[in-house]
Amino acid sequence: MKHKKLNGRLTIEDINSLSEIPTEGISYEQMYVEKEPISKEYTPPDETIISSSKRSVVIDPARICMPFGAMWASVGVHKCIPFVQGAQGCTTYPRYTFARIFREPVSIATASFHEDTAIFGGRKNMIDGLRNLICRYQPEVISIVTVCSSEIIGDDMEGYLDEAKEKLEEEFGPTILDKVKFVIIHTPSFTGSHVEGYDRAAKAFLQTLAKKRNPNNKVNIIPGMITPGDIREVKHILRLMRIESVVLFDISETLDCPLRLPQSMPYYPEGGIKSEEIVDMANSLATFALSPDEGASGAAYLEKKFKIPAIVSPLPLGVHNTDIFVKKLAEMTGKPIPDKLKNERGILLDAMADTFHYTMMKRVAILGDPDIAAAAARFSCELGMKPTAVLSGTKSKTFAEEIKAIVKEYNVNPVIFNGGDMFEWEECIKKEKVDLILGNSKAANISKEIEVPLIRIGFPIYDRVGYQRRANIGYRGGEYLLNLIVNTILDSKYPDDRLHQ
Amino acid sequence: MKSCISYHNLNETHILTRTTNPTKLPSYQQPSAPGKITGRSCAYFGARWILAPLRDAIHLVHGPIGCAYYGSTVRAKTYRLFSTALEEKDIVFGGEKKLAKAIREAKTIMPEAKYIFVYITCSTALIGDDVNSICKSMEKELSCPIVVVNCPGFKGQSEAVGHKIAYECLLNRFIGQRQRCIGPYDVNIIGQYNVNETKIIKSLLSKMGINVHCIFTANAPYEKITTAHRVKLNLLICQNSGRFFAENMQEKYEVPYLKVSFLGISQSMDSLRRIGQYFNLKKEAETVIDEEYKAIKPQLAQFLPQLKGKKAAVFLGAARVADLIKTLQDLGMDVVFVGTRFGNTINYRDIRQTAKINPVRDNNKDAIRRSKISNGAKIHIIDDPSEQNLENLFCKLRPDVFITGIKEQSLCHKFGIGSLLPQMGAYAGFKGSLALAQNLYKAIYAPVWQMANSQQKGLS
Repeated sequence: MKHKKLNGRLTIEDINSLSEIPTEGISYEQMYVEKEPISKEYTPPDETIISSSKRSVVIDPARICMPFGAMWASVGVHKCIPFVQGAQGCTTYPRYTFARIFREPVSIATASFHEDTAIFGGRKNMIDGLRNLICRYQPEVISIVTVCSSEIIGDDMEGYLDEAKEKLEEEFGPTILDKVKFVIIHTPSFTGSHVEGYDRAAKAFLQTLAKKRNPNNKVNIIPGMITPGDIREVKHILRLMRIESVVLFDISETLDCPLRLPQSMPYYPEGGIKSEEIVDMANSLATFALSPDEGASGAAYLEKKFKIPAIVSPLPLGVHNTDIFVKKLAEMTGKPIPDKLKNERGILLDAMADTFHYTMMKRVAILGDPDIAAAAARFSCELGMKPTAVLSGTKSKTFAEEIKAIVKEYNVNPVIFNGGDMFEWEECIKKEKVDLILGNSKAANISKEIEVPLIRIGFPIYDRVGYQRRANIGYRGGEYLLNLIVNTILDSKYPDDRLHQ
Repeated sequence: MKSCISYHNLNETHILTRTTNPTKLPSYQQPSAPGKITGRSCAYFGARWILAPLRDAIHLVHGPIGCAYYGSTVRAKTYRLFSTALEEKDIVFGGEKKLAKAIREAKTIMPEAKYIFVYITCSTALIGDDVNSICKSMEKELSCPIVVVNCPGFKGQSEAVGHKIAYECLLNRFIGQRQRCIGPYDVNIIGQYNVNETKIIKSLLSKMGINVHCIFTANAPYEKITTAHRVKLNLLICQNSGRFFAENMQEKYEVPYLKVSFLGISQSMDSLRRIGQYFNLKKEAETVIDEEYKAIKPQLAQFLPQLKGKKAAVFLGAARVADLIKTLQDLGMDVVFVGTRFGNTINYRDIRQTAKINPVRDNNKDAIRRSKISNGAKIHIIDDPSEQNLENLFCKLRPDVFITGIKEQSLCHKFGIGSLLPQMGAYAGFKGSLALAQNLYKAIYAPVWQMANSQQKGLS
């Protein structure tokens, strides 16, 4: 054979260039197979195309489509099953996502779109589907969530629902419509993101259900897409202040349920806001939207229709933001701020005082949904850290304003990605050296690649356990997050022998 | 809870309860009824499942952002995914220009990519973008193969359709594109989707002197996929998704295929022997079997008494279910019910066949009598079970362990039943069989189940 030989062996190129297998064959000893490197060498991509505003392709998106937000919201309602007017994937992917984050079963029904539906529309699917769902599960609320396909086909959801109600009445008698409430949430997947989906769900639920009655002296809370632990922390603050409240989309007991046997059939979690409570939300003192991008339009609707003041403030994560929330609560209800709460604030400040050596001047990259990213940026500034790259997966006006305010206040100079994708953010933090990443599990790969520790906050966290039960908001949550940050810094930056003070 | 409506007028033919009629199968390959809480997914999910690990490709999803977000995580791993992220104006005016631009940009960002996959989703199929012609013209412009994966979510009944579409793409666009000589003992593995199991199978075969050329699908480079037709034998593992591919390879390139399974000891032995027979490596096969079996036998023996007579339930895709039943029966366990998401005739026949053969029982008269009676069907078979079907079966049959995917895992935990996720572990070959026995033991004997079941007593 006249081929090049490497230590008497054939390289892959040699073997490739052979036109035919030699009759005697090639023995394994003759072959030289190069080992492939584990990860490719980093070559910076074309500068002109890194910024997502300069290209139309999106690489590794940091946002999901709208229906997911609507489903998240629906899960926070007692005995509510979302009915997704779309193909099976539109329910199975979210169920998979919920299962990975919360490790809880989540019931979402599909309209089961197939080829025939693409041609004839989803009328039959919806009418049959609602009937089947009611027969099998006896839900109290069904939220009908549209997706891209049903919106493109142009399904007349309101018309179909009227027809379905008529048929249900015919079959099961008129009482059925008192037992089941229907809420239509229009969430075409090709606009907005899961953040807006939640927002639209808040508005749709209130529009459909809320009714004026006698004042109830309660406070409405629309928390946004925060964890069950976060919602419990909000409830804790309200309890300390002796304020009666109702939380719209309360996932604290639907996505974090105890294992108690025997289980009722069909399986329903005990928690969630009852549909009666949503009706009564039109009679409250005030509405607090904790996340400006998630739920503010629900609060605005109540203000416009029922004259209930809407308070939209940044997510109460960190000292400043929680202060705003607590002060507004006191202002709206006339209740004093209790000593216990002041103590909690003091404990957070004490923890900050004990650890500023570690956190000051640390460069941090932030990733998340707009509200949590802005709040995390402010909290890291409060700890003396310097945000260097802040990404909000969803484009948001309030995020831009809030970050601008932070930049001015703390004299920091982060690169801001408003509605960007993971790719540009990753390229940025590869260049700008950072000490920490504050973000969700989507940043795990880049954290490993550039060897910078990741502190997990926000949505989604699927590669660690227990984060859904932990609160990051409020004073106590702030303290927990601070400890997490400092311990991570200690783990990664300090040699062990300097810690035994 | 008092129910206001009776259940009886619902069609439940997808459930086959214990019956003596040996030929009866549940109704299958029917679209899920609307309003069902199903475990099935869409064609796009299936296509991503097969194609995601192909590493030297650009994967571009032509559709709204959600599909790209969900599709980036496949088989518990996150892959880089490009998307056109269609917006309202694209839906109204068409996304064709955006697609062309996106392909060009993706290639600029990832110049080392050897080929491009463009996935069609529900939206783009509905608005009627002419993706094929754009991809053809872009192919010329970039001189890089662009493969259109036509997998809108509403296509077909389940993700199985997506598997077939993906394999069709591989078959039409890759297999046979290059000629290259390949060793005399080279095989492809078709339908193997678990990285860790792949490692075990590869090591078993290499001990016999057999080289694995390409795995469908793992992170095989372009060269290997395009020359996959030159191997001597295809080993078919997932016969649901891979059978079509293997049959076509046989027809087109005269590569025979062998249906094998590396689940459990008896099936691993059988598979290795058959492979050995094909390559005339009988001796080597026996040596490997001896060696491997000896290594795990003492450890495995410790677990067998603990697993004996325990009740297991299985709900997986389809193909591995029958193999798994056999493995569980080999371990001395009872399989009480079996569900598949997209089983076909072959799957269900296999399940019936396997379920018929009862494990050998010693001295337990009751068990032997039961097995004689249940010669027809020992187990409940259920196609595309809804969440409620599963709940009912949990309460009725009380399995000790439920072998399933992540969605159903938390549901069975709520009913106090342990779970086992085959996708998370490596249960192939002899070492894998030991791992399976170990993990079954963990799932059944975790102290939490006892505490959960006696919770009421504990606090009263």
